[in-house]
Amino acid sequence: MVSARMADSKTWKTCVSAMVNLIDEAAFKFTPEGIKMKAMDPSHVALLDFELPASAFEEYKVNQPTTLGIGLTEMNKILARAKAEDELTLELDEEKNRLTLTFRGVSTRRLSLPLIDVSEAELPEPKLQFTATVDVVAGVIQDGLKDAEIVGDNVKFELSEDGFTLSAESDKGTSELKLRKGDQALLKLSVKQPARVMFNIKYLSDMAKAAGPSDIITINLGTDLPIQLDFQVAEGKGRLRFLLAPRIEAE
Amino acid sequence: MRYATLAEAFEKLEHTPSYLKKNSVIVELLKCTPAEGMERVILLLLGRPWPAYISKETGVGLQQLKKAVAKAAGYSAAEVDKLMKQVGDLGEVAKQLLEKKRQTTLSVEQLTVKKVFENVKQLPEITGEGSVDRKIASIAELLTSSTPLEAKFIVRTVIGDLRIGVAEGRLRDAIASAFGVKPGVIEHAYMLTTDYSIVAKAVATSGEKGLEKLGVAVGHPVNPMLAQRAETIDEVLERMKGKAAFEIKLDGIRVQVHKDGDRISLFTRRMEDYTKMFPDVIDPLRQALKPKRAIVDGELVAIDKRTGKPMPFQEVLKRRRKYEIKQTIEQIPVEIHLFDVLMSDGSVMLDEPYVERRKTLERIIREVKGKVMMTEQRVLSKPDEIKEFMSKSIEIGHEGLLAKDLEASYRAGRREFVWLKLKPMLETLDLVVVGGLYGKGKRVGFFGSYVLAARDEKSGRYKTVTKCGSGYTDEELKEFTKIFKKLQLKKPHPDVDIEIDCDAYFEPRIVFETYFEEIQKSPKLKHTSRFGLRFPRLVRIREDRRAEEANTIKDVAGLYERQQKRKAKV
Repeated sequence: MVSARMADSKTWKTCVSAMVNLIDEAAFKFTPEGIKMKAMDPSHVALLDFELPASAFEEYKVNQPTTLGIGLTEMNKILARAKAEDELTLELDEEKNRLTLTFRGVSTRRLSLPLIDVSEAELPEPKLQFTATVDVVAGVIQDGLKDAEIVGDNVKFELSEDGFTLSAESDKGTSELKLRKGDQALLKLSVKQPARVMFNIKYLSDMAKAAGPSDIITINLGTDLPIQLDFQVAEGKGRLRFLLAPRIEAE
Repeated sequence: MRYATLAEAFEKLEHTPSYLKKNSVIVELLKCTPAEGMERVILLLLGRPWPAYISKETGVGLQQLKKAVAKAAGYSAAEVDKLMKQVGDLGEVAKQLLEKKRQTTLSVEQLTVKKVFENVKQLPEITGEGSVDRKIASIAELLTSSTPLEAKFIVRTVIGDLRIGVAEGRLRDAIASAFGVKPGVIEHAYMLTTDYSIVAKAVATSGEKGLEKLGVAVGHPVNPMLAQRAETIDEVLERMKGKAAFEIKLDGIRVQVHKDGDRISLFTRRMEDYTKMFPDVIDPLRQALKPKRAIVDGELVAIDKRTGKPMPFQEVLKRRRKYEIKQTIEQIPVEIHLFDVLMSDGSVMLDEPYVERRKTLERIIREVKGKVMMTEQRVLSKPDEIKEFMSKSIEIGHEGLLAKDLEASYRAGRREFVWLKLKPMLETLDLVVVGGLYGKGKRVGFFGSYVLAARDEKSGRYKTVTKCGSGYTDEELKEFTKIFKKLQLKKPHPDVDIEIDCDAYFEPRIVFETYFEEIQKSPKLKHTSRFGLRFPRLVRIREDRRAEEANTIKDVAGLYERQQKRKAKV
């Protein structure tokens, strides 16, 4: 049996809305310890790694590991119908092969969607030696990305002992966001070796949807390496991690 | 099998004009293809992951494909556009951009033939909300894992234009030599299945024995049997040993009807699927064919409701359209006349003699008046009776008669003397239009006459035989002028030998069926074929014929010989 109840719907809503832009369907593994999901986008540019332990739920009943294939577009549509403060219950209807979502607020509403077969491809587990890491307030990054979108398709991340820079440049102009050591929005900075890497904005802004403006994002960087973005889920009990392959800077 | 192997072979084929070398590239490729993947390789060689007779499109436009290329290589749509303008071929653009790819990936997957085949094959199946994006994603998925060369051919495959110069016919010889079988055996199997991928798979799996098992299947068009031409009733009776079945020869579109349960499909002589164009006969055919599964052979003709006479062939052709089908049905209703059966329920009839097939056909058809009928047929042996039947056919407005050997099997894809077409008096030739002269009087501004040529089968050159200025309606004059303006050249086409001074020269593409009264010898300085036609007159434009299928100078010479013999008798 699979049944999991959360105090609010917000957590699932934000996570799924960030996933849906990268992948169409996902295989969620429900085990007695919690929920895990890992997937790569079809272009092999982005990887998504989601973990939510049983302790993040008010009530969590899974007696044996069960993998549920879910169409994310459909699930996202259903979650859009939930109010953020609604209590949410996920339940497997084994007989009909469906996942039921129950929203309890002023009233009790129940929607369900059919489960699908999702092929579980083998995913790469790159061992990445990041050289710089920083914790930043999400709203700041979201702002920086929106600025950069006006200018172009790509954005440059730079981490050094002095701080963090997010910049873009094209025929259309330039944009720059700077956080210096000591700024309020820059929480933790550790740089073994400065790093400067470029990424596609579209992917990043899709990923950034996983955070509320005041949430914390942990960024890991290394020259020529993918970027790793960690979002805290359910007050840090769970985690949504993205890996995004870099772009090659044009000469 | 890696897709790279296929892409490398494609690249070689594209840059090898020689027939023999192309052949050996294909043979090498087939030899290193495992039997299990043979169908996919053959279909991809021909450009699409489904056989040619299936009229399916990927539904991916050039703009969408540009987006997929842009996404995979990490360039903007504008950058793809810019390069596209310089290079002209999106396949080449994809190759060049992937050589300097800007977006890296987290992992690289080696593309297999199977993966490319499956992804392209399912493109038409992606429909509904967001289908455009999902199609782009599916193509981009292939392109991100592909090498630059692979990308070039993936893009071209999606467009449906591989540009490697491999036509179906070429595969016969290549498959034959790859598996050490005679080309004739391969061709026979192809005539039954119309699908070289099935043929190659069978021979790769179990050799010539595998081919013997191949047969006719509902849903797969069979190459139709064709008729030779006879000059006189005497000739027919001599060839048929004194007795034959005669059928009214209808002037319409030859179609093969496949019935599989409730599903009816129509295929043309060239294996194109015409089912959607003739909805008005589909339901009647469903009622008319008694067996659950059947393949029958027939002709679609348009009948003028007021006169009850058949409309000219050109009218039926107007029904070959994708749009406004409903309106056209009312203007040009068609009926189908059936004359042969290739399969009925479980039993394949190809090897049965004509008489048996006709008996079966009569048993399995329930005629639907004005929609599905049996072709009128008589078994005759007396010249007078044949003449009378011929007059009847002409009187109704049909073309003449077809004589069929009572004992002959159905020889798929063959044109032999066991079926003979017999047309009255006048001869016609299918000739290629190579030049035009402007008209006078009310024809000013239009081409008033055209110079027609026959093909020299040895050199492949087109040599003139006549200048034809009659037989056109006013409407046709206008319409033809429009068509030919598009094919106009300043000088004669390099494949054409012409001495007549024309106002315009054309690419040798369009075929005119032309009546004439007599063939004469002509000085080389007038007609380069050394033959000339007297009183030529246009019968119709043969949209179903390509220039390479037009009559040859050998045909003209043959008719000339026979004409001289006839004259000598008189």
